[in-house]
Order: sequence, then structure tokens, then C-alpha cells
Amino acid sequence: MLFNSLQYLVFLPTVFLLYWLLPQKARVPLLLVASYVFYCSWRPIYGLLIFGLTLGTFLLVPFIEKARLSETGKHIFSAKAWLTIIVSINLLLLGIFKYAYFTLDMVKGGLSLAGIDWKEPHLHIILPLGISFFVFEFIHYAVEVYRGKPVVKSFMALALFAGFFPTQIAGPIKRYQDFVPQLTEKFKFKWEYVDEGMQLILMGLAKKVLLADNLALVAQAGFAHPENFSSVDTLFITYAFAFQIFFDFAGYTDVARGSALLFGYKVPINFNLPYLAHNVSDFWNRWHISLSTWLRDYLFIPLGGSRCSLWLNYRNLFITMALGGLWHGAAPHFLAWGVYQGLVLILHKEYLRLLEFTGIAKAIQNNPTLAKVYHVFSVICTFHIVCIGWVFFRAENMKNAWDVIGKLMTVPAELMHFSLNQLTILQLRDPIIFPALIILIPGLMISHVVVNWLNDKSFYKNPPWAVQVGVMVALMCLLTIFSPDSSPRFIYFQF
Amino acid sequence: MSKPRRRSNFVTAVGLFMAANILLSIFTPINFNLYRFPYKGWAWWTFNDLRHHPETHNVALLGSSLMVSAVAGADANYLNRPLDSTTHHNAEYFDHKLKQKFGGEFHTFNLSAPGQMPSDAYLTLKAMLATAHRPDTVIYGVAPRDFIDSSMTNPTDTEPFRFLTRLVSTDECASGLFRDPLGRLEWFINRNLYLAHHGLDIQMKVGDYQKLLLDKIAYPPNGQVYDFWKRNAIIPSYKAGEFHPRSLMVLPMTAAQKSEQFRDNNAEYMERYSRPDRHTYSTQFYFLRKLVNLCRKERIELVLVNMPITKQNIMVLKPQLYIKFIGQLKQFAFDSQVSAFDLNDFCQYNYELTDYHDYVHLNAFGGFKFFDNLTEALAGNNRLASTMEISGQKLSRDRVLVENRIDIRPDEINNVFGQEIRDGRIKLKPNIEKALDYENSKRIGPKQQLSM
Repeated sequence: MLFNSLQYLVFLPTVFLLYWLLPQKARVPLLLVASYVFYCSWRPIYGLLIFGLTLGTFLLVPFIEKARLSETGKHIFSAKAWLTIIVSINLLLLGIFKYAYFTLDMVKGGLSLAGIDWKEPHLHIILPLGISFFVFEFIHYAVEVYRGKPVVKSFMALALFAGFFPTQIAGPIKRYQDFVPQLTEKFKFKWEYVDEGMQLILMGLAKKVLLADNLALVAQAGFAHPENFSSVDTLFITYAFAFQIFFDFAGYTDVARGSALLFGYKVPINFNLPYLAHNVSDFWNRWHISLSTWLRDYLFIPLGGSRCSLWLNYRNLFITMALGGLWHGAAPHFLAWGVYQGLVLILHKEYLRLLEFTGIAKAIQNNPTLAKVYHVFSVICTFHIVCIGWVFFRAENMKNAWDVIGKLMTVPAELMHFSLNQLTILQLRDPIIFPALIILIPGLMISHVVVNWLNDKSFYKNPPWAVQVGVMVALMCLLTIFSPDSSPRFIYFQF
Repeated sequence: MSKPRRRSNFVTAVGLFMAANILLSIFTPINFNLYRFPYKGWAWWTFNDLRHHPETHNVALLGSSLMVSAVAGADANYLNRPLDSTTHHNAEYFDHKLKQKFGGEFHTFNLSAPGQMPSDAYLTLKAMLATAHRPDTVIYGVAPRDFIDSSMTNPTDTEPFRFLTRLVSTDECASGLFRDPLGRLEWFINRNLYLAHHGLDIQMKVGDYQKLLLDKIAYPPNGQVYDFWKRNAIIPSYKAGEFHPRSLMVLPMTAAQKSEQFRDNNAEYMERYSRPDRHTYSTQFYFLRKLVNLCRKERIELVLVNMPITKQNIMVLKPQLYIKFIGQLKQFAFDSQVSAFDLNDFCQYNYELTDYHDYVHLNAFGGFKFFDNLTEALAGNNRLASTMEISGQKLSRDRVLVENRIDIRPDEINNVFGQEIRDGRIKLKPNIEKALDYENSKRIGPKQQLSM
């Protein structure tokens, strides 16, 4: 069931009405049933997978706590062993469903290099929706219990933690300490839930349907046939994809958060104006926040984090980002994207060291005007560094990625003798989104700045009544008019 | 502590949104051209042609690509010139045969389209009647694929259906359109919510303004806007299947090319026949019945024709299923009192494999045979023969009448059909209205076919 489908438009109000009409004690079971209905609407058999994994985690995690409490540190290995078993089961399932084909391809490639012609078996595996997200939530739960947090006593609570339908398919990745206590709260119906929730849902759908789906046309054409476009066209196409993926995923997150809010639940935010980041490290504090904090807490820190030698710190960063890339998809171009992110993070740290060493950092700090100019320059540079990374992310394969990167590398040379005649996007009038990029891309960049300014003014906390109603009516009209017959799936559904 | 609110901004917004829709429905402030459609597929070109040619057509052909290929192939050879599929919607060879057989004048309009199913055929004929064309006879060529195509899920999924629902209402056949309540709900929303109903129209209007704006600030370099051909080369996946003038030409073929051009399409039909679905089958028969009723209501003679296909294709379908289909079609025709001919009766008709482009589509030579056989079959039925004779004579008389007594400039007629469709009704200029009234009154009564 997609958030941008009529099915969901019927499902959500039905669950909402039942939820608030039923007595308190029946609400959590209702949400659990609704979540399984939501999940099984795609492929009922995979309902068993999420159920089995929940049951396994529910039964095994208390052993970590028991081992930890009874042995008071003397036999900590035992708790560690339980943790290893639970994490291994989760990762094994993720590996089988997500990386089996990738592994076979790698083995086949390796063997063919050795001159062995091996025909890999066909496995008939279909990736279960959302597996990457709920597996990460289970691992987080097991690790937190190992670190001393309490276990979840109720199976229903743990099942709803992983299965909660607004966040089931593509996050945000929740923390059980934040979510599970909400299940025992006695929520009373408030109109604020409806208003804020529906506003988020409408905003999210607008981001997806009005912006991401239209920009997808550009990215699809540009990445499928880069040879048909000039270098400057390709730059616009890369910008288009940068905004497509942002609005697609941010749109999904808004709908998820809005849907949760309708029932009184709060789930974490995932984005904070990522394209206003002034360096790549800042970018990762603003982009897919629930994943980057998960990677930090459960991969980077266990690897040694930054409290170690510089080279070990770099190694940890590199491994974390490379695995983070692979988490997005079992394909070399996703791995390349992760490796690229790791490398630019390391380079950024080296760059900061260089600025410190030469005293430039202090000079910038001491001059407010220079600091402002430098900040703007940093934001622009960071955006472009991120955009180059998106090429690996979006490409069909590595060759395709290098073709596009190759085009982007020639942008400065093309700009030296640039003429509008070279721009293919200006000559297309159908679909109109191509020439509209000339206005849309700067508009979207400016919108980030405006939203940031409104955030600073706390506008969103208490917007005027008329503005809130006006925006909602406008969004309803726009979504009714521009909803295509078949809106594509959210990008992050495939992960 | 702040007091809990008793008023919801969202509920207020929903109220305003509904009010806006109601007001727009009442006042209909924007005029939309219902013939505008962003995707120029087969149905669009057919009706674009039909509305710009207001002359009387006394025969109409319905059917899938089987009929399309028979007509196009036969005509290309008969006229001995390439035919553009966007503009050639006549059946010149068939007209010639009918004239030869029954005398008078015949002017056939070919409404057949690739993939056309009975649900599409029903709406196509309904839309033809809505454009002030009422044929005396409709010949509908059917084949098993039209009732069981596994690549189609709902009748509403086809391109002709999406375009034609802009021209005619589907209220009376809504019960047959959907297999789940959600489909019906979507239909209900699109039917009753002004902004959803006219969403596509508003999108196109907004697109026009966007183009105007972009022409001002991002004018195409040297004024060169990429045409259909260049667009297809740059973004081939966009609007796949759309075609434009000169993009789909049918060329005359020689006898020597018969076997050269033959293509094995069994794999495609294995897929199409792979999941025969009872619901789709009964839905398509439901629409066939609607077509029969429509023809009866409009006093149109409907002739069902089982189209020739090869034995190899029947083997893909399975012979027992084919026999069952023929039996049900005959029973249906008998129950509905409709004339039906099995032009694929292997005992009676002899189509060679060289009469086909592939295992189902007739080529020019097969097309000739098909229309020869069809004409003979029509002549062999007394009722149909006299209907055809009367129809031929009537058109002959009408043509003389129109040419001699009613002075309408072609551009005036084009104007009529070009713009004034509003809320399902065609608004006519007074002088033309009179002229057409006169013509219509002779056939089916005042303005009957002008309202949808």
C-alpha cells in the first residue's frame, strides 16, 4: 500500500476513526492489526517474516538482560554472545533477502577473473518491503538492552514498534526508548493532532506528487541517455535529481510523521534543510538523520568512533559510510556512493586541519563579513560535492555513473564557450519540466533559504489561522488536479 | 496551560475545498476543449479526424489491430500509395466492394484501433454518435484476445478508454468497469469532484501558461522547439506509443514481400493468452451487450464478425477454448438478435499463411480476401442486404442534397466541431444548426445524436 494511493486514502481515515472511537486499551491492538494489514496488502507471506523476526527478538533479547544482571559484569561475554546471536540472525536475514544476488554476482565475477565459468543459481528472492528499516530497529533494541536499557515486556509493544505502519516501509528509524513509552500514554483526542498531522501529510504528498514525480522525468531521461544532453544540461539534470530524491524522501517522511501524529504518536524528523549544509559532515547531520544517527551509534562508535588515532578515525568513517552506501542497495554504484561519502568526509577533516594549521580558520572567524562570504561559499561547494555523490546513487550502474561524471567534469570547459544553443532542456517543450528547470532549480534553492528564515522566526510553531487553512485548501486543490493516474513508488521503498 | 481547541483548521479547509468544488461545478467558469488530450494515441487521432470531417459515414468499422491491419493493408494496395495512420480512417476498398455489390454510395469510417476491446468499442461508437455521426451499419470484428487479454486489468486501463471518457459519460456502465470498490470510488471522485473531473484540463491550461512564461524568459535558442521526432530521440520512454503524422505509415506491398514481412508473434500471444480471466471475459461480454443495446436504441444495424486468425494462433490459445468462444459468441448473437459471421470458418474460407503479417494480422492480400468475404456474407443475408442497399441509396441522395441545397463552407463546419463542446453538449452556430437539423431530422429525429 503506497502513501500516495487511493487505498491509503481509505485505509488511514478508517484506522483513524476506529482508533479514536475505541476505548484506550483496544487502541494498540488496533494499530498492530492495521499495521499487519498494511504490510500484508503487498505480499501476505512476508507478514510472517516480520512477525517471526519480532517474535525471535522478543524472546531472545531478555536473555541479554538476564546475563547482564545476574553476572554483574563478570561474565559479560555471555550477554555479548546473546547480542551477537540476535544481531547475526537479523543481519543474516537481511543478507539473504537483500544481498544474495549481489554476493552471487560478486562470486561469479571473481571466478570469471580466475577463468572459471560458473553459472549462478536463480534464487527467486523478492526483497521484502522495509526489511532494512525494521532490521535496524531490532538491532538498535538489542544493543540498547545490552548497554543497560530495559527490555520491552509486552510483545504487542515490540511488534508495534517495528511494525507501526506509518514508519514500517521507509522509516524514520525509531528509537524504542522514545516510541514504546508513547504506547502506554493515554491520549485524548485533540484537534491539534488532526490539524498538524493532515498538514504534514498534505505537505508530504505535495513534495512527492508536485515536485519529486516531475523532477523524476528529467532524471530518468538524463541518466538513461546522457549522450543526448550537453554538459550544462547534465549539471541541471544532476541538480534535478538532488531535489527529486530530497522531495521524494522528505515527502514520504512528512506523510509518515503526519500519519503517526493523527494517532497522537511522535516519530523523529529525518531532514533539516540538508542543502543548506556548510560542509559534508553538517550534511549528514541534516540528511536522513535517523539513519545517520543509527550508523553513528551502532557502527561508527562500536568500531572505535573518533576517540582514537586519526587514521583509525578515518578508517571508521570510511567503513561506516561504505556500509551505509551498501545498505541503500546491493549494487556496486551504491557502494561507490558510500565510499565517496566516506572519502569526502575524510578529506573534509583534512581540509579543516589545513585551515587550522595555516591560520586561515582564525582569520575567517575574526572577520564577520569574510565569515559570511565563506559560509555561502561553503554551502554552494557542499551542495555540489553532494550532487556528485548523487550521480553514483542514481546511476543504473557504474558505467552509467562514470559517463555522467565524465560529462560533469567538462562543465567548466563548456562554460568557457557557452551558448544557449547547446542547452537541450530549453528546446524541449513537452514535458514542460525540462525548460522549467531554469526557474525551478534556483526557486528550490531559494526556498531552502526562505524556509530556514521562517524556521528562525518560529513561523511554523504557530502560523496564523488563515494562512494554515489557506495553505491546506491550496494543497488539496493542487493535489486533486495534479495527482497523476499512477504516481511512481517512493525511492526509499526499494531499500 | 492553553485551552484545547474546539475548531479544526483541517475541517475548515475541507469545507472550503468542497465549497470551491461545488461553486465551480455550478458556475463552470472555464471552458475546456474536451478533444484536447496530452497523449496522442490511436483514439485521439481517430476522433481528431472524425470531428474535422463532418460528411456522413453510413458504415463504421470497429475492432482491434486485426481490423486495423486488414483495412490499412488492403487500402494501401488498392490506392497504391502509402497511407498515414493519423489521417487515413476510411476503408476505400471496402467502400468500393459495397458499392459494387449494393449500389449507391458508401463511406466507411474506420473506428478500429489496436488493442480495442468491447469496452473500448462501446465508448468509441458512443463518442462517434456524440460527434454528430450516425452510421447506418456498424461492423465489429472480434477475436478471442479482445475478451481475455492478460495484459489488460480493468477496462479503464486502455488509452482509448481514458480519452473517450472525456467525450462521453460512463455513468450507465459504471457497474461493469471495476472489479474492486476502490476503482469505483476513484471513478465516483473523478465523476463528482470538479477539480478531479477537470484535473487534466486544468493541467493542460496551466501547461499553456507555463509555456507562455517560459517562451518569455527561456525562449528556445534560435526559436527551435524540438518536435515529436527529436523529443522521441532524446527521451524515448516519454509518452511511449504516441504517434504523429508520418510516424506510422502503411506502405503498399507486393506479392513477393508476403513471406519476407512475415513475423512470428506467438511469444507475444502466449503472454496475452496466459491468464484467461473469467471476470475480464464476462466484463467484455457485458460491454458487447451494451454495444448491442446502443445500436438498437440508435437504430444502427450491428454486424459481429469473427476475424480470421491462423490455426497456429488458435493452438496457442488452445482449440477447445477457441471453440467455446465461437459457441458463446454465436449464442450471444442469437440471444441479442444480432447478425454474426464467422469469417474464420476453416471449412468455408481459405486464408493462407501468406495472407498474414504474422499469426493474427492480415496483410494487404488477406485484407482483400477478408473484405470480399465480408461483402459476400452481407449480401447473403436478406435483411442486411436490403439495409445496405437502402443505406447506399440514402447516402447517394443525401450527398446530392447537401451539394445542391445546403451551402455550408467546410471551414464553418470545422469551426463548429473545433471548439464549442461544453458540458457534453455541442453548441452550434444558428445557420449551421439549421442545416444539420435538416439532415438529422431525416435520419434519427431532431438533434438526437448531438447530445451526449
